Amino acid sequence: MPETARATRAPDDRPIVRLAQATKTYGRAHAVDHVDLDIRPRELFTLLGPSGSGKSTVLRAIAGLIPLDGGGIEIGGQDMRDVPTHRRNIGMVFQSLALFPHMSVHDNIAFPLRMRRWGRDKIARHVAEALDVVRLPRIAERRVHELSGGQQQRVALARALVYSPGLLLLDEPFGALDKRLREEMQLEIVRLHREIDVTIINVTHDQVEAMILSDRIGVMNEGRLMQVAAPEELYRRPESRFVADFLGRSNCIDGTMRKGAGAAPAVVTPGGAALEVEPRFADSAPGACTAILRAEDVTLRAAPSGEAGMTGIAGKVDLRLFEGETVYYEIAVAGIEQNIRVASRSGEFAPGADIWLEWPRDRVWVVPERAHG
Amino acid sequence: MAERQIGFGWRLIDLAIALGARLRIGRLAPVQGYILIAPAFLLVSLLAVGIFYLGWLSIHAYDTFLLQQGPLSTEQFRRLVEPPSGDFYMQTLSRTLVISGLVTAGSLVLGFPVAYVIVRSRSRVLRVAILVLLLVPFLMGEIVRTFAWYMILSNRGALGWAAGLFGIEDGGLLGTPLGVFIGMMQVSVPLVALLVLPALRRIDPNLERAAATLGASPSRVWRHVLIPMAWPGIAAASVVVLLLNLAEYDMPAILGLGRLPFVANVIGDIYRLQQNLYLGSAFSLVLLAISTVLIVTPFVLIRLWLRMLQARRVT
Repeated sequence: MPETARATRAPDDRPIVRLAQATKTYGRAHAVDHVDLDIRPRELFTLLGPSGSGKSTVLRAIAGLIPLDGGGIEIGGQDMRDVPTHRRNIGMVFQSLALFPHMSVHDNIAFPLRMRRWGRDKIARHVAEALDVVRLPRIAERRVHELSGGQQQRVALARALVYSPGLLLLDEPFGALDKRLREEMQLEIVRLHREIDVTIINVTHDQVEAMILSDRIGVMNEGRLMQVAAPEELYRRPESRFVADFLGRSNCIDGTMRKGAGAAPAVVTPGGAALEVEPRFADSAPGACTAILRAEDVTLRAAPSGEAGMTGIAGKVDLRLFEGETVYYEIAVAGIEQNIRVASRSGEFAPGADIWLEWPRDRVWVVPERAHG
Repeated sequence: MAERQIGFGWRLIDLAIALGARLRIGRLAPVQGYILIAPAFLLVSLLAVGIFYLGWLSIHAYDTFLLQQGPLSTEQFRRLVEPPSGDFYMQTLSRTLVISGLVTAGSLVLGFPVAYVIVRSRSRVLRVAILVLLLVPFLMGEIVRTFAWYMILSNRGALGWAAGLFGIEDGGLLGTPLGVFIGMMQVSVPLVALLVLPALRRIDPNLERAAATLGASPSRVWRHVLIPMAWPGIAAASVVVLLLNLAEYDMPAILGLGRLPFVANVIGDIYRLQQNLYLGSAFSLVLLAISTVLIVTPFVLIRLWLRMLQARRVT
């Protein structure tokens, strides 16, 4: 079924959703600040950001639940300015799920079909199909409150998909679930996305969820879209300190670029510590900049290994926390204000030990000052 | 002086405690709940006694000339129904029912959206302003309120003056059914709004948003989500408002200029002017019976309807 559906679609890669300078203000604060964004057809896109970053506002504006103060939204190439929510033909799953408590599971899923004035038999057939798709047969006559949390999630998904909308919006629907159920539902989304011809926009503050699910991620902060990229790209090559800080455990070390005559360029902190970086950063981030070093890229040693391509700095163990898979260290380094965070696989050093921190030089990433979020 | 009084008060309390200990009040703890509701229960049962007395009076003949109670008879009820006197009483009854029904329906239509605005409005000022406007008529007192409407609706009042601008003479609404209707609406609409408010407040606003994303136009969100979910509140509001309207007295008396009496007005006249407790009791009981039936039937019907739905689902 997905194959034929895709074949009938126009072959070009025109965006299914386009935001142009989308802006929403509450009082003087920008909830959404001039956001430009293209969502590609059949993509699973995630808007990631801390709470209050405006990601949910963007989603609700796409759904037409919130009017924009400036800029425009196109869905399927059509301007949505004067199209009310109920004519946009989108599916949406809310964090509270918003299942109708006065209706049975069947009536909940049949609701969008009844709104489209489908025939009784056609509705019954499609509801049964939708329940099969989310693997919940035989609960159609139950009331919503008789279902478990996971079942309710699936019913909400079935209801949002039963009329085959081209676009599915997920407004943090897994936020309130416990860890196991959340992972189960995330896999469910990936499975559905593979089986059904649908574009999904997901909103979350959970970076792990964003990484697992998404084809591309848009990171938001204070109403602005900081960076849009594939998960790995975002993780390895953040464009700003905020993105680096928000994804994974990183060390963001502020300093200035020193172009050495002969020696490799380095980021020098106000305290005088120097971190060697790749020569290309000398040009891309001259002047004030931030060196970013992932916690898991750092190895702890008793002495420098002297291997080619490795660089490092001396420090003293301040804190050691056993986390199971890894041991988390905080290392005090002379000349750097904050402790360096390290996720070590061995963990043989005790607090107070003098050690050598080492990492491959090409794993240090540098962003210029102006890109600071 | 004051000290001696306080001392006396304390001694009284000591006495009460000693008395309680002597009487072993602790033994009453298991039935404490019943003791606490006893006053309310007594009050209500006293009313029941009154109603029984009404019933007793209504089934007796009465000689209006000798002012003497006669034997057991259906005379009073026959006088309410049979011509020539029956015409007037039945007309009064149907007028009461029709206008009360219309007012109840009208105030549901107008009051429900008001409650919705209060619940969903983002503006605190607006919310408070509407609530105050709703409450003021209740706190104002019925007579003041009714005479305020009298001023507005009379021929020489605001409405008559406005109608005069369009060349209509005597444009006031006093003594017309519409005038009574408007006056009663003014009390009923806020009442409906206040009674529906808690039911609406319990509805998650995301349900409306979800319904919209699923393709429901605003009018269908109302029909399929808001109204069904607020159903208990709507039922409660319509029962309360209908009952109050059926027993309405001031509006028909003042705004109707006595030309359009309701049952309550006629009962009052029978008691005060005719001084016929027996006929008045009969009419009171008729109104009571009709009110009871009007309240109970919807609930019975809903029960039956639900049972029918369940039966259909099982098969």
